[in-house]
Amino acid sequence: MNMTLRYIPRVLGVLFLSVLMTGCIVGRYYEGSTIPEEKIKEIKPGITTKEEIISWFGPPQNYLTPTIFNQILRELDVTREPVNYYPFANILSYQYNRGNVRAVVLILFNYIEGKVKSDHLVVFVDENDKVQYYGFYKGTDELR
Amino acid sequence: MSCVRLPALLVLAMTLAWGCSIGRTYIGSEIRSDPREKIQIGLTNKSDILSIFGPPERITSQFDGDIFVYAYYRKNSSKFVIEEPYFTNLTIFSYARIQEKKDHLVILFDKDGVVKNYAYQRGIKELSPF
Repeated sequence: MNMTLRYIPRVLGVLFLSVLMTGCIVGRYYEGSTIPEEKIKEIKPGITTKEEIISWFGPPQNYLTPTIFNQILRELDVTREPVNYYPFANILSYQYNRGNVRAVVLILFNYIEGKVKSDHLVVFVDENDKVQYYGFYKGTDELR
Repeated sequence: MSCVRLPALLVLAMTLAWGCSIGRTYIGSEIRSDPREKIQIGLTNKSDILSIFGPPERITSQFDGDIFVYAYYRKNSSKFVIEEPYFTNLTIFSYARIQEKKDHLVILFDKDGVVKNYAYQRGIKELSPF
């Protein structure tokens, strides 16, 4: 009995050490340019032109190569094709992606969490190159 | 004898490394409203949809109108492994469970930009924690 009691501090010591030997991983991922929100309030359907949209927000992404984020979505089968690759030019799309990864690595237990969120602006233009409708969502606010 | 037995058991326990991993992945944003409450077939138009749900993840053009696709993807993974990683690299026991689910909304418009039909599936509520 006494012999067993003698080893309890050692066992507790090993357990304590295993708790102390932990690691944390934090990762941040940014893709694309931020969308200037102050300009979104100035978009007026029927008035704002395609040229103004391009001068405010830059070249839309449907003229660029698909983003890495969209390629991941495609591989995960969330979307079957690059999200912003529209085969017609009357939709202008802008996307800014952010990803947060955090992990706790213990000896006996690991927890890994990854979140990817997007700010997304899409503008529909009519045949007179005027804004027809638009939508904006700031998904990056959901990242803590 | 017992002086030797306890450290030996400790060494054996440390040698047979075991552990569990839990992973969580979130891609995209939740669908912001319940489509069954917000969408009225034949009345709601593209502008309403954009203001209610925001920009879609995907737009497809068809000969008789556009399709908007909204998706929110989540993946939960859990893994438990007992292995001997030093000498034999033997996995004695392994259990893994991976769940991939998504909330999915597809809206079909007619040529005038009015909702013709829609489909909504909530897969994420089927996710279990482990």
